[in-house]
Amino acid sequence: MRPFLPMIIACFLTAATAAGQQLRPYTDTSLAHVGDLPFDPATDNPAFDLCGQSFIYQYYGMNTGYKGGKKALRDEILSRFVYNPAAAGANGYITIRFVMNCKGETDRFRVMQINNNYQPASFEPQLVQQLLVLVRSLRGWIPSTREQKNYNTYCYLNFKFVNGHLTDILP
Amino acid sequence: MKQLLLIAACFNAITARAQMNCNAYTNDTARFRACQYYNHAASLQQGSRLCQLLLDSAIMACPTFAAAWREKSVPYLKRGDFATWRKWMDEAVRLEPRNYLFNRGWCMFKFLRDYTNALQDIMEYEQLTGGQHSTSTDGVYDSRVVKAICMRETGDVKGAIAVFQQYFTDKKTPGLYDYLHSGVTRMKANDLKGALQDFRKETTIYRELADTYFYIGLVQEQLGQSAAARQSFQKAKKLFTGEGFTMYDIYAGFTDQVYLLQIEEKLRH
Repeated sequence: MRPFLPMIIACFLTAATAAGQQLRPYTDTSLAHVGDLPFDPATDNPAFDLCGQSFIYQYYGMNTGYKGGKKALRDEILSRFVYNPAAAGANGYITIRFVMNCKGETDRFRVMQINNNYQPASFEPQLVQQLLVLVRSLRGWIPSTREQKNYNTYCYLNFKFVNGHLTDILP
Repeated sequence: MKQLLLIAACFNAITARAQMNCNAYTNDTARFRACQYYNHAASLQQGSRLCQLLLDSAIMACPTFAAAWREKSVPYLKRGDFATWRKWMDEAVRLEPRNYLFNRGWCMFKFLRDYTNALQDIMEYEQLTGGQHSTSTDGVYDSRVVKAICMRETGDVKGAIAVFQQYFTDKKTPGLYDYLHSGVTRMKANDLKGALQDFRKETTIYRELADTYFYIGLVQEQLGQSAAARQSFQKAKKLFTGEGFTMYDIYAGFTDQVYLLQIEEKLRH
């Protein structure tokens, strides 16, 4: 195969001049990997320790966990979640992505909200804030380990809502 | 915990991204070029910038190359950005619904427990293909089993049982958890004897699956067989904590999956 870089550059130049409503797939080239969460001084803890590791793995394939297992995590969240009537219109998913470091500490929380049609949504702010505070306060994380060394991982929790009621916590 | 079979299967699902045979497109220059970009992307770390850029190149070369749209969507799904996943995946479905409708439905079933939309995709797929079936990309689920579970979870338990019944009649070799899911469905319909039969069949397919024995215990409990139920829960715990297997998936849990805490709670009483 010929070197692809000239083709990519040509493609982007061509695409930049293309008009029309066609779906544009172009990758966000500012991130080294899909889903990277670079440090944001506005929201993130500058003292959050990445253990001298430059790479953050994805949760899948790494044995990250929670004390007591997934059921314990779900039970803890469900026992602390309080239904808010003001959020009765929430139908969809609130996803909180974050980084867990080699010590099981968490930071770099980012929230995404979608409705049942997978379109970006904006649910009641108090609902989102409650979830964010709850997830931030979870202390039972178990960092991933391989050959007796701990690693940083990207994780997420996905909260499913039906009429404002929390009906499932994934993955 | 012995999870060798499942870990091997899941690891293979992560690392082994199939390359395409580009010789199939020698009469179509754009598709051929797109295929080459796609294969190059498949050799790289999924979700890396370079991989995604190569998939963009494939799409640029041939905007109707559905495989590239689909592959581009996958890291977003796995990493929790479901809106972006759906945006790219929808394009793959639009271009090649036969190839990607069930896949999209299964992803919603697996990662989001979105039984409503998953069922819609499966039914649309069946309508489009004249009733054909498909298999999930990890090889674990037949589309009929996913359909039955979705029907159950959206309130049509009787319909789910009917789908399971027809499925087991038609399918010579059931999948890894098919009888377990069918048994749970029968429990929800209060058909305890039928559920127990299904769970017993599950034990012949997956002998050391802890989850099955937990459900057997639940049924025995409801039938008033306390001593037998306790034995089943004890067996479930033994299998769970080292002697056997449990339902395990590296991305998202399984519907009907059992957790150790549930078994231990039963043994405490």
